[in-house]
Amino acid sequence: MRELLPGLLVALPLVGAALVPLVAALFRRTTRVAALTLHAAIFAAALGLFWSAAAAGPIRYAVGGWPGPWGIELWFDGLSTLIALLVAGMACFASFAQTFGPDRDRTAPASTPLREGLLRGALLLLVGGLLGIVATRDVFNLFVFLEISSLAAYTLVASGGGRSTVAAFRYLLAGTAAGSLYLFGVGFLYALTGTLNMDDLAARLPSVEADAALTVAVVLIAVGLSIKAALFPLHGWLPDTYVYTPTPAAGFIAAVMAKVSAYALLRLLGEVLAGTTAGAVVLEIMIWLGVAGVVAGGVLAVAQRAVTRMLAWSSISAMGMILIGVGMGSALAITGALFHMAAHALAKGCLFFGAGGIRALEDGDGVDRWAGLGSRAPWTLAALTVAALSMIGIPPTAGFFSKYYLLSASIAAGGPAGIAAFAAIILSSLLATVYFLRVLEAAWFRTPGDAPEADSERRPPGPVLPRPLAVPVVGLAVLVLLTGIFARPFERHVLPDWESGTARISAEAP
Amino acid sequence: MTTYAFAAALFTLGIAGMALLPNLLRKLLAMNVMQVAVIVFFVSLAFKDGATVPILGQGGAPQAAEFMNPLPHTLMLTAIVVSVSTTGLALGLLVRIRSRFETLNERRLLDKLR
Repeated sequence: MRELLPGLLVALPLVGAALVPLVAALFRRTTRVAALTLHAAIFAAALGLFWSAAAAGPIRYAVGGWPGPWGIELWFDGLSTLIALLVAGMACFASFAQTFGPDRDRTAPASTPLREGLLRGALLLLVGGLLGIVATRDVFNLFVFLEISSLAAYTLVASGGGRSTVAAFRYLLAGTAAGSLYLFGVGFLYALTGTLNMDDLAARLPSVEADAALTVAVVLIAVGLSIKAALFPLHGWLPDTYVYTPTPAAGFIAAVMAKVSAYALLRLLGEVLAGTTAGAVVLEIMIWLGVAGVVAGGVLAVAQRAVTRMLAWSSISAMGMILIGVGMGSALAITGALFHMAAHALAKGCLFFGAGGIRALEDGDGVDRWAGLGSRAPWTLAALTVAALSMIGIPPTAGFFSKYYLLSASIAAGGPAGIAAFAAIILSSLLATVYFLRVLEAAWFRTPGDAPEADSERRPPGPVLPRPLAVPVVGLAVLVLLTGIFARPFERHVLPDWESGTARISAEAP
Repeated sequence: MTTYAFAAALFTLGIAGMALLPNLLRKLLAMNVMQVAVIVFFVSLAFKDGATVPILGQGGAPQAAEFMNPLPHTLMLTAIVVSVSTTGLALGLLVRIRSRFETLNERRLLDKLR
C-alpha cells in the first residue's frame, strides 16, 4: 500500500476531474456522491501517506518507474504530507459546500446538472494540481502543476459570472506572468546545471555559484512564485479574486491556493537555493517584504467596510507572516510558517464559507448585515468566532501557536529583520483584534434594529447558513481548536524532517 | 547570445504590454508575446550549429556533439500546450466580459464596476 499511495494521491483527482463531469452528464443525480467519495478517497490517501511518512520515514516515488534525476520523482516527508493533508481535507469541505451552488446573485448563471459536474471537476483538477506541486521533486513538473491548478482556479473564480469574470481575467494575467517568470528561471537553472531534479540541482549548484546567471535564475523564480503566493507588493490579484469568487470555491481558494505557492517557495528557495549567495539575499529581502505585507495587509483590512474584502486583506497579512518564516529559514521559523499555513487555512476557510454565505443570503457584505446573527444562529456564529479568535491569536486556538513559533523565531533570529518581524506580527494581531471585534460585536451585541438601514421584517427567521455551508464552518472551527490543542505533537512531526532535509542537502554539496 | 537578448527583449515587451495597454484583448496578446519569449529562450538554449535531431543514423558510433539536446524542445511542447489552454480560457472570459459589460477597455470597465 505504501508503494501505491503516492501515485494514487496525484492520479485520483486528475482522473476524477475528467470522470465527474461525465457522471454528471450521464447519471445526473449521483454527481454529488461521486465527487464526495473521490475527495474522501484522496483525503484517505493523504492521511495514509502522512502516517506512513511519520512512522517509517520519507517516501521517494519514481513516476513511471524512472528514477531521478532522469525521471520525475515525488517526495513525501513530514512537510509535504502535512500540506497534502491540509489541501485534501479542505477540498472535502469545499466539495461539501459546492452543494450550495453559485451565490444567489443576479449575475450568476443558473445551475444545471452538467454545470455542477463541470465545477466539481474543476475543483478536483485544482486539488490534483495543488497536490502535484506539493509532492513533485522536479522543477519543470512543478511548473506544469502550477498551471494546471491555476487554470482550474480561474474557471472556479469565473463561475460566479459578471464581476467575477473580470476578476478571473485579471487573476489569469497575473498568474500567467508569474508562471512565465518561474519557467524563465527554470530555463536558466537548466542551462547552468543540466538538471531539473531538485536534489540533483542542490548538489550541482555550488559548482556554478560564481555565474551571474544563477542570480538571474533565483530572482526570476522568487518573483514568479511570490506573485502566486501574494507576497506584498505583488498581491494585486488577491483582493478582487477572493471577494468575487463564488462562496464554495472562495473558501477553498482563499484557504490553500496562495499557501501551496508559499510552500513551493519554501522548497525551492528555502531548501534548494538557500545555500547560494543570491538565494540568501533573496530570502533576506523576503523577510522585509513579509514585514511590509503584514503591516499593510492589517492596516488595509481595518479600512475595509465589506467583510469579505476585509478577510482578503487579512490574508495578505497572513501570507506576509508565512513568508517571514520562510525567509528566516531556521527550524523554528519553518515550523511557524507551516503551522501558520495550516492554522490560517482552517480559520480563513471557515470565515470565507461563513461570510460568503451570509453575504449571499443577507443580500449584502457590510458589517451591519451581521447584526443580531448571534441570537439567530448561535452555533454557526460561535464557530465563526473561534475562527476569528484564531486569526487574532488567542490561545488555545491554532493561530496562537503559529504566532508563538514565529515570534520565538524572530527573537532567535535577532538583528533588525528579527526585531521588525517581531513588531509587525504583534501589530498585526492588534489590528486583527480591531477588525474582527467590529464584526463579532455586531453579530453578538447588536440587534438588526440598531443597523442604520434596518429591514428586519424582510429577513426570514431561522438558520443563517444552509447546511452545505454550516457543516464546513462548524467542522473547520472544531479543527482550529484541535490543531491548537495538539500543537506539540505537530512540532515533533515536522521539525526532524526539515532539519534532516537541509542537512542532507548541505551534506550532498561538495 | 543574440537570441537570448531577443528573448529577454520580447519578455520585457510582453510584460510592459500587459501592464500598460488599456484593452483587455491587447493585454492577452501581450501575454502571448511574453510566453513565446520563454519558448524562444528554451529552444535556442538547445540549439547547436551543425547538429541535428537525436535520431541514430546508419553506421558509426553516435557522437554527442552531432546532436541537439532534445529535452528543452520537449519541455516546450508542454509549455505550448499550457499557453494554448490559458489563451483559450482567457478568450472565453473575454467573450463573457464583452457580452456583459459591452467594453473591453479597462478604464471603462472599472467605471462600470464601481
